[in-house]
Amino acid sequence: MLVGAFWILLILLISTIAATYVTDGQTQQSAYGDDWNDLGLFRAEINRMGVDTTALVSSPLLLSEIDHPEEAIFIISGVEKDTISLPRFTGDENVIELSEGAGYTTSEILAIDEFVEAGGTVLLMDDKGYSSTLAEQFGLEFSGHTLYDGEAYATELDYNFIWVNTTSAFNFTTNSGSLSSIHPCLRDSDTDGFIDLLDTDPYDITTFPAGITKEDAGLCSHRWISETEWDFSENYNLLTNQPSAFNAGSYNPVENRYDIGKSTLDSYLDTNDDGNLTIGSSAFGIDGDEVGPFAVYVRYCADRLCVGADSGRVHFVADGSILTNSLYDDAFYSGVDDVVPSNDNRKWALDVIAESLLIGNSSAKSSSNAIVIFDESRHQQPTLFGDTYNLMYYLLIYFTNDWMAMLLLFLGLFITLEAVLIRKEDPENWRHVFRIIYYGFGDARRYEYYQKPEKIRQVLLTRIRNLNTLSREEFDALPAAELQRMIDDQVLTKFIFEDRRYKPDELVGIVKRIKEWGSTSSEEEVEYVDS
Amino acid sequence: MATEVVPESKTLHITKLRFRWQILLLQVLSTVSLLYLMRKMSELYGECSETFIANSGEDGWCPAYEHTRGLRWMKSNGNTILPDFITGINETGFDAFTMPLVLCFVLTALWVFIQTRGDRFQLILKRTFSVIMASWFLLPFLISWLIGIVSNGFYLPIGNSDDKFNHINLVLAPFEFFFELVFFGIVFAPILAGLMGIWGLSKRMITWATGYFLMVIGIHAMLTFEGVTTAVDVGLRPLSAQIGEATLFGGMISPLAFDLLTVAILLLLFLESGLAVITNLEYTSVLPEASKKDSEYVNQFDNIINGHLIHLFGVMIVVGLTTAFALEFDDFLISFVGILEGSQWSGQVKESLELQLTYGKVISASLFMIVVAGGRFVIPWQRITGVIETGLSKIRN
Amino acid sequence: MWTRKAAIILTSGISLILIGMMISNFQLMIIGLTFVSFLAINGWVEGHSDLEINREVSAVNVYKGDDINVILTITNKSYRRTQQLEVFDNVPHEMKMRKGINLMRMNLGPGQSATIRYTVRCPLRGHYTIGPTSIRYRNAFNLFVSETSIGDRSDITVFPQVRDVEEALIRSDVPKMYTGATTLKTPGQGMEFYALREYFPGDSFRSINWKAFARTGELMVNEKTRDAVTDVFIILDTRDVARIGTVLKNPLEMGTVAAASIANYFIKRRDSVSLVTYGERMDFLPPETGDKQHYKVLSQLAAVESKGSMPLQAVTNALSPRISRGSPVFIISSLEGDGTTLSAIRNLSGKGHEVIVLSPSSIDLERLVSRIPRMAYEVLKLERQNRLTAISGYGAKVIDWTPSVELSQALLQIRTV
Repeated sequence: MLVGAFWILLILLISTIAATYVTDGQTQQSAYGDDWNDLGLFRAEINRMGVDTTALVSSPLLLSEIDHPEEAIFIISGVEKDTISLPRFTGDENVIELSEGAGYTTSEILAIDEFVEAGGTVLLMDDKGYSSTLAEQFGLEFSGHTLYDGEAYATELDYNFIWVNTTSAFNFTTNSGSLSSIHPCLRDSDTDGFIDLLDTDPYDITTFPAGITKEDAGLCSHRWISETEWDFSENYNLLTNQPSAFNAGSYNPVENRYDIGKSTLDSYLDTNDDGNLTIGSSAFGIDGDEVGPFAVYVRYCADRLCVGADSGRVHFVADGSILTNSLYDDAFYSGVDDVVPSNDNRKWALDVIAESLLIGNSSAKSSSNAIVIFDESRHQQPTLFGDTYNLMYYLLIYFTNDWMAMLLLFLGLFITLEAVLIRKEDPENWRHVFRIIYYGFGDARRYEYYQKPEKIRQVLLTRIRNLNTLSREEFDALPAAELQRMIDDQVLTKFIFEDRRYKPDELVGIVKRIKEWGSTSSEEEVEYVDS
Repeated sequence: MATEVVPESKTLHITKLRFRWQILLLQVLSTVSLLYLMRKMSELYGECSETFIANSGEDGWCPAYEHTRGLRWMKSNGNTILPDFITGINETGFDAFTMPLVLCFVLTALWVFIQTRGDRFQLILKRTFSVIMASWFLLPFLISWLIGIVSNGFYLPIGNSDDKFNHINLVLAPFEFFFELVFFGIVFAPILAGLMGIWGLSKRMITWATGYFLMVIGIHAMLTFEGVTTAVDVGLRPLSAQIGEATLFGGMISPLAFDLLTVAILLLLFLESGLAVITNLEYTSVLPEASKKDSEYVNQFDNIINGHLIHLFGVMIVVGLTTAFALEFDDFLISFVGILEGSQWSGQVKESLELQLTYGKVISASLFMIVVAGGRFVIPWQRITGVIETGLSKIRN
Repeated sequence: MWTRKAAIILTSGISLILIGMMISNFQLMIIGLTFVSFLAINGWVEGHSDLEINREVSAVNVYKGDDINVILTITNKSYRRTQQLEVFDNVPHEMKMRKGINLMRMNLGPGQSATIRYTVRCPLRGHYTIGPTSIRYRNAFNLFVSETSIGDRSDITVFPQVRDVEEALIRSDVPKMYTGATTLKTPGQGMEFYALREYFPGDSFRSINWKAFARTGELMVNEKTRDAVTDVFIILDTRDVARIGTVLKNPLEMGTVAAASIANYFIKRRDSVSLVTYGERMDFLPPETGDKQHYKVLSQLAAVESKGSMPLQAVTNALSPRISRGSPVFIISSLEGDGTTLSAIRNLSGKGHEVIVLSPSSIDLERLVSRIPRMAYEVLKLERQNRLTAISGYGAKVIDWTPSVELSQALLQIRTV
C-alpha cells in the first residue's frame, strides 16, 4: 500500500509540473506549420537559399552549444508558454531565487544574452506573449496593449492591420546618418551599383561585373531586380497584425538601442483593452488610452552603431505575426477574405537574415557554418505527446546546463548512490547453523544470603531436626541442654547459641564441621550399592 | 544413504576446480579482456594534445594513460633505478608494454604462490621485505658517512658545501624509485591488481581495477572538458567532439563509438568473468567433503558453470548490439518521424538542434532501452528456448 | 528483486550518462548506456519455472541422538530452464548436519531432476519440522534475485533417550511387587479363588462348584478375584526451575530420560503406566499399557518444556482420586522452589503409595553454568540434603541424582529412613 501511495504521489507531482508546461492551446507561429498564422513559407525560403534551419524544442540554454554563433540567428516568433519555475542561485546578495519571471527562465535569458555577446543575432517578434523578461534584459519593455493607428492601418483589411513604415532603417541616431554600409546587401563602397560582395573590385568604381544573376545574389537575391539593377532602398513598409508597442525609453543610443520603426502620431495604445479609443485625462479621473507615436521595431547592437559585422544584434518587433504566411506572401489566402496588400515584411526579414549570416564572406552565399534556429520551445504543440516529448528534453537540458540544477542533480545522484550503498542489502547466503546454546541460570542473588551465618544456622538446625526425626513443634519445644546434647559438638553448639560476627574462614570451618557432622551421624543409614 | 561418487579429478575441491576447462576459460577470458582493455585505453587516453607536444617536446609529461613519458621525464632529471628494458621507455607503441606486462605476470605468479604458503611463511617474507627496505634507506647513507668520518674526521652529513659530503642525499634515492613506481603504476597498477584478482581469486582486487579504469576515464573527461581547459590545460588529447557517422558493420556504428563501446564491453567482460570464477568457487568451498564428491553436486555445478558461460557470451554480444543500436536509434527516430508528413511537431523534431547534439542520442537511446527492457513482458523467449531444448533432448534420446 | 550490484550499476549508469552529457564526453555516456543495457538485457532472463519438490525422511519418530536421512528431489516440470537456482531445505537449528548439506545450486533443463541428500542428528528431544524448501533464483551476474518457498514440511518427533534400567530396578531396593499382573482383593475375572456364592441364571456352567452342590444340594459358583495390572504413576516436574543447567544437562532433560526409561521398563512388563507432567499446567496421561501407550508417553515427554510454577501438592490432590490403591508413584523433580513437596509426599505415603523420588541435583547443574561461591554451594547442598532427608523421613525412597551419575547407577542408590 505504501508503494502504491508513493507512486500515486509521484505521478501527481509530475502531472502538476507538466500541467504548467504542457497546456492545451491553439498552435500558431510555428516555422513548421503551413497555416496562415505559421511561418512555414519564411522557413522554406531560407532553405531554398541554401541555409540550414533547425528547431529548438527544449530550451535556449542549448545556444551555448552553437559552434559559430556569429553566423547564427535565433528567431523567436511569439512566446506563448510560460516556463517552469525552478529555483536558482543568483550569485548576488539574494543568494537564491525561487520563482522565475514569465516566458523564459533567468538562465535562458542569460544564455540568449551570451549568445548575442558571442556575435549571434536574435529576432524577437512578440506582442502580448511572455517575452517581456527577455526584452527587459536589453532594457526594453513591452507595453502589453494593442496598438491602433487611425492613420496608418490597412484599409483593404481592417483596423487590426497597422502599417509601420520606416524611411531609413539604417539611420540609427539623429546625427549618424545612414549606416547602410553595415548591411552586406547594401554595402557598395565604390557606389558602382554593385554590392561589394558581388563586385569584382569593391573599391574601384570602374571595375564591376558584367551582370549578376539571381543565383549569384545568394542571400541578397530579394534585392536583385535584374542583372544590372539592384534594390538599394533603405525603407520598409511593414504590415503588422494586432501589434503592441514598446514603452518609452526604447531609444537609448548609449545602450546601443535604436528605434527603427515607429507608429504615427495618430496611433494609440488601448491601455484599457476595450478595443476603443478612450480619450481621458487624469485630471478628470478618466484613464485614457496612450497616444503615440510608439516604437514598434527596435534594434539593439552589441557594439556601437552595429559597425562590427560579426557583433551581436537583437531585432525587437512588437508583433508576433509579422512573418506569418498570410503577411509574408501577400498572395497567400487562408481564412482571410480580403486581399492582403503588398508589404516589405519579406524583404525586411530576408535583410535581417542576410545581415546576420553574411559575415566576412567573399560571396553572397552563406557559409556551411550558417544556421537559422527557430525557437519552438514556447509554442503549443498539436499533440500531448509532442508537448511531453519537448518537456523531457527541457528537463534534461535544464538539469545538465543550469548550474543550480546541475548541483541539485549531483546532490540527488550522490544521495541516491549513498542510499543504495547504505540501505540496499543483498539477501544473506543460506547456510544451516547448528545452534543449541542455552544456559539456564539460577538466581544468583541468593548466593550472598547463603553465606550468612543466619542461614547456615538455620540449615544446621534443620539438619539436626531431620536427623532426629522431630517435627517442628517438637524441635521448637526442645530445651537448650537437650539440643546441645544432640549436637554433641562444641564448635557447632557455640555457633548456634552465639550471635556474633563471624569471619569468612570461620564460617568455612563451621560449614565443614556441619557436613562432617551430618555424614557422621547418618553414615550407617545410607546404603550405597556398588555398581 | 548411498551416493554416486565421482573420480578424484572431477570433484569440487578448489585445487581440482582450478584446472577445469570452464574455470580456466573464464580466467583466460578475463585476463585477455584486461590486457586488451589496457591497450584500448592507451590508444584512446594515452596521448598528449598536439599543442602540448609542440610546446613541451619529448620530455614533457602530461597525465595521460601511459608510462613512458613520465619515466623519460624522470630520466632526464636524474637516474632511474629500473632498467630501460624493463620499463620499455625506449620502445614505441605497444612494444613499450611488453616487458612491464611480463613483470606483472611474474609478480602475480609469485603472489599467488605466496598466498598458498602458510601464515608463517608470509610473515617471514613481510619481515624480510621490511628489513631490506629499511636497509636500502639507511645502510648506504650510514656506511658512506662512516667511511667519510674515518677518512676526513667528524662532520655532519647535511649542509656541506662539497656535495660529496652530503650523504643525506643517499636516503632520498629510494624515494626516486617510488616515484618511478608511481609513473609505472598509472598504467600497470590496475593490470597487476586485475591479474592478482583473477588468478589469486580476490573480488576486491578485480573491483578495484575496474574502479581504477572508470576513474581514469572520468579524470580524463574532466581534464579535457572545455570549461576546465579554458582555465587549466594539462595537455591531454581530448576525444573527438562529434561521434561521427555510422560507417562500420553496415552502418551500425561509427568508428569512435565502436572504440568507446569496446572499452565498455571489455570492462564488463573483465569484471564479470573474473567474478564468476570466484563466486562459483566460493559456493564449492562451503560444501562438505561428501558433497564435493557427490555426482549430483558435480553435475549441477557443471550445469551452472556452463550456463554461466553461455550467459556471458550471449549477454555480452547482445549488450554490445543493443548499445550500438541505441546509439543510432536517433537516426531511426528521425526517419520514422519523417514519415509522419504534415505534422508540425514531426517537422520540428526532424530538424531539432537537440537531435543533432548528444541530447537527442541520449533521449532516443533511453527510449530504446525502455523498449528493450519492456520487451521481456511481450516475448516469451524463455519458453521458446525451453521448447527447443526439450525437442532437442527428445531427439537425442 | 534488484541486488545491490544492480542498483549500483543503474545509478552509476544514469550518473555517467548525465555527467557525460554535462561535460560532452561520449565515453562516459557510452559506458553509462552499456551499464543500463546490461541491466535491461539481464532483465530478460528469469528463473524459477514450475518445480516439484518431494522429500523423503528415513524416520519421523526418532530417539534423541539418532540420525535422520533426508532425500529431497527437485524436478523441473515446465518447458523452460530454471536458470541458476539455489535450493535450501530449512532444517531446524537444533539439528546438526552429520553428512551432506541441505543446500544445492542447480540449473535444471526442462524435465530434469536433482537430488539433495543429507543426514541430520537431533541432540535434543522435541517436535520439529523440516521444511519448507526455499528456492532462490539468482541471476548469473548477481543482478537480480527472487525467492519463493515451497511449503512441503516433514514433522519429526525426537523422543528422549530410553535407557535400560531393568537391572538397576531389579538390583535396587525398589519393591518387587511391580512384576506383571497383581491380584486385587475384589471379585472379578481373575484366576484365584475369592468366594462361593449361589448360582444365578447366566453364570457359566464351568464356574459351578460341583463339590459344594454335592454337599449342600444347591447350585453354587466359584467367584474369582480381580486380576488387575498395577498402575505405575510417573510425575515429572516441568516447572521453570527445571531449566537450570546447560541445554543437554538440566533437571528436565534428566527427568525426561528417567521418565521414558522407567515407563519403558514397566510397559514392557505389561504394567499400566500413567504420566503426569506439571509446570504451567498439569497434563495427565491415563494409565494404559502397550505400544500405543508407550508412544503416547514418549510423545508427551518430547513436547514438555520448562514453564510455570505449579506446586506438587496441587498435582497430588488432583491425582488422588485417580491413583489406585497400592500404585507406586515415581516423582521426578529437583524439589527446588516448592514448599509443598513434603506435605504432598507425606499425603501420598499416608495413602499407602510407594513413593520413589528421583531428584536431579539442580545445584550441581547450576554449578555447570554459574560460578557459585564455595561456601554458598556447600550450604545449598546441605539444605538440599536436609530436604531429601525430610522426604525420606516420610517413607519415600529418595535418590539424589547428580549430573555425573548415569540413570541406572542413580536408581541403585536408595535412601531409607
